[in-house]
Amino acid sequence: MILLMPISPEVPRPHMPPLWPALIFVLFLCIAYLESFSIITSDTTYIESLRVVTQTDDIYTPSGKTIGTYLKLRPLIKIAPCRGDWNIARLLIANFLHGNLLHLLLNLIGIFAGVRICSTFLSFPTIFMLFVLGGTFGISSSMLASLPVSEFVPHIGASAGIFALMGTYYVYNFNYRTRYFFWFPSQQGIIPLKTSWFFFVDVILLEMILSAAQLSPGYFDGVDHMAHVGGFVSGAVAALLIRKFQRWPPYLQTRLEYTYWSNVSPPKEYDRVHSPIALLLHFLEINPYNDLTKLKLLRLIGTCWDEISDQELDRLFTFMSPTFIRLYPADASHFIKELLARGRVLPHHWLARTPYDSVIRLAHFMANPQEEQHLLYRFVLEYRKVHSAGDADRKLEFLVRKLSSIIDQQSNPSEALASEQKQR
Amino acid sequence: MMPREFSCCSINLFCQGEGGVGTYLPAKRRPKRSVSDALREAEEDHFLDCPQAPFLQRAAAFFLDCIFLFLIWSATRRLSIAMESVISHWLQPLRYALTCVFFWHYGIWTLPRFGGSPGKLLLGLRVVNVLSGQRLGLREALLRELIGKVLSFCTLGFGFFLPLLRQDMRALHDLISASTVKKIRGGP
Repeated sequence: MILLMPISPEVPRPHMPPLWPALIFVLFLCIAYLESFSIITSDTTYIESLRVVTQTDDIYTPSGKTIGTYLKLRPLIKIAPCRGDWNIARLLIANFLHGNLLHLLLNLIGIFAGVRICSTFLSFPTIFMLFVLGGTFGISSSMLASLPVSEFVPHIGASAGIFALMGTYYVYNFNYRTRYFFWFPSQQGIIPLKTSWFFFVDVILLEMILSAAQLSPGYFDGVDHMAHVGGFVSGAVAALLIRKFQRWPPYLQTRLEYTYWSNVSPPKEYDRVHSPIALLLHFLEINPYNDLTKLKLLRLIGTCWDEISDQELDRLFTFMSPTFIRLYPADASHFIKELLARGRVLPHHWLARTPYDSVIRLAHFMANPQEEQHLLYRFVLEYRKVHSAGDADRKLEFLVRKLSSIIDQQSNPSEALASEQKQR
Repeated sequence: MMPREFSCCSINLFCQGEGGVGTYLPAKRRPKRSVSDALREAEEDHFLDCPQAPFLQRAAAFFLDCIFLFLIWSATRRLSIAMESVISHWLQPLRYALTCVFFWHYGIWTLPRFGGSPGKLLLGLRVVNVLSGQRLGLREALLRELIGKVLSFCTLGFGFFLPLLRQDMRALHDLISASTVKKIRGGP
């Protein structure tokens, strides 16, 4: 996850998560590390001394009660929980403790990312609560599932809480994309990827497999994978419960949209067709990147073509971006085919700003079935009319010529053959 | 009416081209073209018009591919270490074999199939034939990825930095395989 860092959901600039919640968490962890530094240092010294005295590096193998008795006395257990000795207070504090500087640094990067991405959907107190409770659940599940050989291993670190925030984010942004930073300088270092599968693979899949491996007796890893998985699951479950409590509609992405939706009152004169369309168009004006709202709008219009005005279609097409066409070409092409089949006109402003590769992409999906290929031809002709003086004119001329010959051939094969032989 | 010598058997001789005046050869059947073929040709024509991929973007795509490969290699290594305590040591050669298959698919097979590695595709780049705009065939992909890149490496990496010096922004492995990298859209 460190190499491909999730930095924000794919949202417009006004919805971008603020930095201050993440910085406050970073500050908390740094202060906690400084406060616990003396105990951690004395614990490290104690363990090293124990290794020297017992003349073994592996002090956790059960070679009698003696080592266990000494391990119980290690300083860190006063503030951190372990399977053999824990309480609620230490479980909660463990989320803010770290064993060394490297451990802290890696978790600072993780907490910064986790808090920042969750700030798009949740308030600071909710994020803090999810971090503490989710992290505590993760640490507890790891302690309960850990093997007796590790009874006196203290469980510390913010990573269970970080994974709880990742689980929360996974639920909230499941149907959308996440922006990742892969440590390459310049704008090229950021790519958006689908949260539903990539986030899962990047963040939690390996952790799940390695946590299962940790149940094997011969396998020991310094990383608490089980706590990560426990934290992720608790964060995801908490997010589902919170969304259910909030009655968050599935097609809304950000907190701004949700706030508008929860405060909007129904219009005085409610129309069963135009009112929902106006509401969805307003959501798109708040967040033009929301593809689920666009899909919902396309499907809604698909049920009531005769009642849609040209202004509403114009407004809808302002949100049919090249990215939407690339991600949902089947839905976009189906909509355009229905539009043309009903004799409606495609807005010129949309044709003017749509790039040629988007047209080709739509055309691939409009090529079937054969009986509807004349709609594809009409679409290309309309696009060509708008770009008749531009750079794409030569390419469009080439495409129109090819399409007309093939479509003619398919509709009248004998005439097409005759005209072809004549040309030869 | 046909003379006896021009029997059915003789017609076959005529069809094969043996004969004098009036040799009959059936017209070659043209493959039936579809709308999808026309669109594919239009797309290839469009790719030729697209601008060359800038060096920085190619470097970013390469860096992203390295990250993906490292993540997968690291994950399989940790998994195999975890599983070795449970399963016997025959896992090791199986892991090497699967790694080779994986690298083949990731680095070479994706070129003729999709037009580029996952890193390139995510950043809106395509590797196409410099003259026709078509995707590379398997032979050209092997030439580019195996021989071309090894040669680029053998020139102390100079082959990789050639796009900075050339007007057509092609690297040594591009020149060898008659390919070029095009930027087909602004970004992912």
